[in-house]
Amino acid sequence: MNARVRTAVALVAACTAALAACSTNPDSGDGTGAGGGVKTGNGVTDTTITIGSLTDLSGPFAAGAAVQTAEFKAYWASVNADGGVCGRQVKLDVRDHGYDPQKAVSLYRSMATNVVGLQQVLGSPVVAAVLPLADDDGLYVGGMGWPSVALGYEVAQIPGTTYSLEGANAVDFLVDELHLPKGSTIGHVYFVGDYGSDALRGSQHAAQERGVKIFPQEITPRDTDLSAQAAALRQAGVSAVLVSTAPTQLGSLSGVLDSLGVDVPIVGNTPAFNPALLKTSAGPALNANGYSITAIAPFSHDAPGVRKAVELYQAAAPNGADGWEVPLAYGQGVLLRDALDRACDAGDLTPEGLVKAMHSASGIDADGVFPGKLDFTKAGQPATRSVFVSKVDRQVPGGLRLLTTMTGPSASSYPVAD
Amino acid sequence: MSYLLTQLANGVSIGLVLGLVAGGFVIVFTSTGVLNFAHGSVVLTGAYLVAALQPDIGFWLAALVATAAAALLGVLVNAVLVRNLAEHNPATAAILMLGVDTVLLTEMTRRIGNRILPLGAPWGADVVSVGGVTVPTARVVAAGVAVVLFAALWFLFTRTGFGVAMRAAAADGDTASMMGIRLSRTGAAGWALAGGLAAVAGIFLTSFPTQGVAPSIGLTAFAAIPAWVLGGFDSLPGAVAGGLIVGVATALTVGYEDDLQVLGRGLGEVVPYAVMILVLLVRPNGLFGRQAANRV
Amino acid sequence: MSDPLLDVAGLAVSYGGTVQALRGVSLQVQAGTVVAVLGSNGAGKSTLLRAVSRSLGAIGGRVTAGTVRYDGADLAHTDTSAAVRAGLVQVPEGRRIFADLTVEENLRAGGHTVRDAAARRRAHDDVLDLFPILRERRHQRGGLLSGGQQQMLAIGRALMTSPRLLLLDEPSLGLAPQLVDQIGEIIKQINVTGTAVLLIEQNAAMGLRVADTAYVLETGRITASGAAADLAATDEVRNRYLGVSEPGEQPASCAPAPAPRATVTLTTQTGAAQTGAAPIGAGPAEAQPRSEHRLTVAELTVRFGGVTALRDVSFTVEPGTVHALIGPNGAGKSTCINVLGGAYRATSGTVHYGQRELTGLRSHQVADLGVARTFQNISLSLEVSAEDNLLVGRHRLMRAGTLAGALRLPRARREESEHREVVRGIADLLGIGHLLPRPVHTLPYGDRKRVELGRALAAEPSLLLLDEPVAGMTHGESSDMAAAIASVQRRLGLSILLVEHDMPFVMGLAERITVLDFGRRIAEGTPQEVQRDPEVVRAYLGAAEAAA
Repeated sequence: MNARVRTAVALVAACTAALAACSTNPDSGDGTGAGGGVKTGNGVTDTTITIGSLTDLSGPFAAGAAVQTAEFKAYWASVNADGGVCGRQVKLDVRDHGYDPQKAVSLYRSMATNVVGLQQVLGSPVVAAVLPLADDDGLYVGGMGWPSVALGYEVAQIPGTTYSLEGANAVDFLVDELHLPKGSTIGHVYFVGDYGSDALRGSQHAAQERGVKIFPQEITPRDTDLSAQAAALRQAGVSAVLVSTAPTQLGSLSGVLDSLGVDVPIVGNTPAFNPALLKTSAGPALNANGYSITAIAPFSHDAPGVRKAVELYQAAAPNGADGWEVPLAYGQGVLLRDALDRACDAGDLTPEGLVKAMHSASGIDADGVFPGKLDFTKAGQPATRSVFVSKVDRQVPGGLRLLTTMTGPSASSYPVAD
Repeated sequence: MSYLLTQLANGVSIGLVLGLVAGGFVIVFTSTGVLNFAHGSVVLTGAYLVAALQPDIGFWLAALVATAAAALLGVLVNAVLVRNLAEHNPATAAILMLGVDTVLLTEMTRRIGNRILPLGAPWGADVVSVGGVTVPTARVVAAGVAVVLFAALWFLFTRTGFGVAMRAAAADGDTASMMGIRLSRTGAAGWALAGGLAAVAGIFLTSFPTQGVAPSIGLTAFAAIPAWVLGGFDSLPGAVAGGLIVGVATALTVGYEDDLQVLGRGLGEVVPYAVMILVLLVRPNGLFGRQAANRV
Repeated sequence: MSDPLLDVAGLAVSYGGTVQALRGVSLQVQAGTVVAVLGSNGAGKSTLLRAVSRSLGAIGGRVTAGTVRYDGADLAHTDTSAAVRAGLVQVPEGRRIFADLTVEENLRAGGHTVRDAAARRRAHDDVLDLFPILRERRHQRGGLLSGGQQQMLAIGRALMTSPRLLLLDEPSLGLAPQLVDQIGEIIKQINVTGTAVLLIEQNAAMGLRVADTAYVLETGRITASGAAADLAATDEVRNRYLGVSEPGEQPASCAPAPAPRATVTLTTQTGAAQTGAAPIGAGPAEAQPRSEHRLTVAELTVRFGGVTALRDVSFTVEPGTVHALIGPNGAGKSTCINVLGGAYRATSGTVHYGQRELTGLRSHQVADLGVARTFQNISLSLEVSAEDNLLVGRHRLMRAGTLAGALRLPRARREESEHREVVRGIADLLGIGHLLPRPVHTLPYGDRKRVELGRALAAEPSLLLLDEPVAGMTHGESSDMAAAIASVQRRLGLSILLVEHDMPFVMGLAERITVLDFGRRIAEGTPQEVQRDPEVVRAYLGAAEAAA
């Protein structure tokens, strides 16, 4: 009796699975589609192109992820309104992994055959889990932060430079622009892992080149009170501090340094700064001494690309938070759109065709969203070694005022592939 | 010298705050036998409420309301979940608490997002300097409040009838109930106390040098677990001592990390657990523990 | 006579819905009197007290029938705390003082329900007047007090509520004789102030001395009741606590005995108990003794910390005989058997089994010499079948290694089936053959005890140590067990050393008896000799009784 029920259930399940498989078949029709002789594969039909996004809408990065998702949707809606890509409408399939790599992997498995590429994979542990799978499957991956390890994956399109080059440029900036003397000590507070440790490699390379010393302080996201680290930095007599952490840690550190009377420049990587910090007690200290080295133009930059990004965002989410996520999402949209256009022109709109097309791209700056022309033609090399340098400034929207774009000497000499 | 003193002052002040959190673990454990793994998220909830309420009603009133609300939250968790579902099974209760923790943490994360909510505390980012030793005012206040709270707890548990009844119930609930002590009340009181302590600790854990309320505070509260364990599961003085040991040990290893390079980087993270294991090797029941083995 | 302060009528209590701890118990406590309930381990005494004090829930018990009325009101829906507030307070068994709280704090906890500060202060002063030693030590932690002082503290703690009815659960347990007398005096003093006392005791001497009225509780039923003085003189009670029976008579517990005094009522036993009363005396062994070894205990002393549990105890168990070790609670019987089984270490003295010295051997080494034991509290694997439990007993005799067994090699399989054969034989001998496939947790208490005995026998021992083999059994079960043990002993020619409270059982089974009291040997001899020994009578029934 029981066994029979079980068999019945199994049969129903099998049939459902088969039906589901059948129903997805038209989406993944192999061979040449009818759309003007373009070869299509997973995620592309005659009328639509489906792209995926594995993001964190319920975990620790939910808020920033929501900003990016809103901007992605606004960007692709505007593209579709202008007639779409390759005569097709672009559909964005957003899935929430809640910062759980296990869940992300199963979401990836369920999504991989239905999309032509992934616009976004958010969260270091999730990226570490998903990127190798996508690489095996030959599936394009757009935003995943700026870790150097991503350079090793052919399918990854890093939107700009890497954390290590941000670190190297930060040292160059301190020496060349803020005139740090030779022999100075620079503190570097960093998260262990693909983000902070990568930035530290860059800063250590640059320190060697420029005759300064790095005083590293390793922390984890759990450390929210950096009193001990700040006291140690003061004891070490640092003349500047690099911060490759999350905003909470940047805030605590600048607040304590200020209270200890350590009045030195504090330079954060792209993800370290959040304009919300300006409303906290660390606000004045950051306003006075804070800098940010970013791969993406700040929210307040007046380049047309950034203005377009902000315009789209504010129309879609009038009450949304301002931040670097807006131009970043826009820039990633531009990069994927460019790759799709190239694939279309090449007549191969399959996932493999998209990856190939992406590597033929060069000279993209998304109208000033990126600090220079990005070049994706050299495998294993960063698309650019340039960064934006901004001053923290509470007067401007997004809290960062652009100072300059630069490619420092140590950033140029940094051996990316080692 | 002043460097050492600064690091010591840091360690002592954060240690006292950890002691408040660990004290909450102890009180819930002794009054109801539950390993309250949801305590960290109660700390976060308390701090969040202060940050959320203070723009409208001011910091002090917000702190008062948040403390009361956190106490009430503890009482509710005990009344609704622990007493109904897991009264006679500590293991079930502990797992249930992990569930409560996840729910609270998720809700807080959803509400806070990646914002950092300022606490609006009057001490802001002020610091106090004495003879080259600089300590944030918030930490001085924290240490003072912690000492006052510990004194109040001592008074409650040794000088008031209800406090003595709570200890009696903790020592032997069956016998205490034969004396007419209602275990439901001592249990509720324990959860309320722990909730209130959590909210106060939450305020100081999110005060300067921390920049405000972010979801990671829930994790920071877990640093109190080694303090709780090494003090002995069921001892309030143990919780205070454990908090101080963890606080000072962490501050010193971070402060002298450069001199301890041979041991590798990121020692501050490991030190509380290393200290805990060392203490447990010498004293398996913790520094002040008595009955860890038979209650767990 | 006015309405009783406490009126228990037809009370039945069960644990987990299956184990029936009390059946139809009725008793009354008049205001201002002392009532004693006598009974041995497992009779249901503590259950009775907890049912009265409304604290059964904490140990998983439930009242299934009957009422408990206090001061005219039914307590059915009253909780412990409300009962305490109404003046009904229990002093738990084993004192259970709060060891980490000071004496003062213990008293404070006791007076928790008293809202009136003046009344609390008065009660506090009264308690310290009653127990001057507590006044002296009131700032010390309760755990530092001696056993007697802890008992005083436990009583004083309960007195803090100025109760109208005080429930005392075995206050004499584990105390030295002079302390027991002192506790008795204290109970009288408490009573003088008008507090009624319901006292539960195994120590019949103590209970009968202080009580106005007494009840005998056996396996959940009241079997005798009456004025304490009258009850002390009855054969019923003498038999129950001394196993004294008239020559040629069956143990009185198994037969309806005429009430010797008008004021004493005896509850008739059920028919089932009578049928179980087959003559089961341990006759000469039918088989050759399996072992020629003699168990010789010489000047055995055991101390735990500062407490001397056994002092210079000597006795000899002859091969192929049944030897009993008896004595009031706390006499050191279980300690003795635990030393023989290798669980405890002797402080001094020796134990020889044949030529081998047992002192210093570990449990498994003792087992290898052919000594098997059962435990006071059954220690079986509840989830597996009775047969598998018995097979565990064969472990010592298994030849094939664990590996061979795990691989189910032919040799191991053959051996296993042989072992199953032996186990079945033993089970049949004990009359539990039909129970073998059943998981132990489905078996009633008496059968579990027999399974445990079977497991010990499965090891084919030459000496069997039985720790309270019939504790908590009904009379029917107890006589079945006696028959089973006697038959096994005759068939297999074992030596048996047993510890037991059930006097009819011991007197019917043992050939020689050693009597312990407070860790000393006070008598040894045949059952008849021991029963007549004045020391033994005094130990069991108190000085007054011995003089009478």
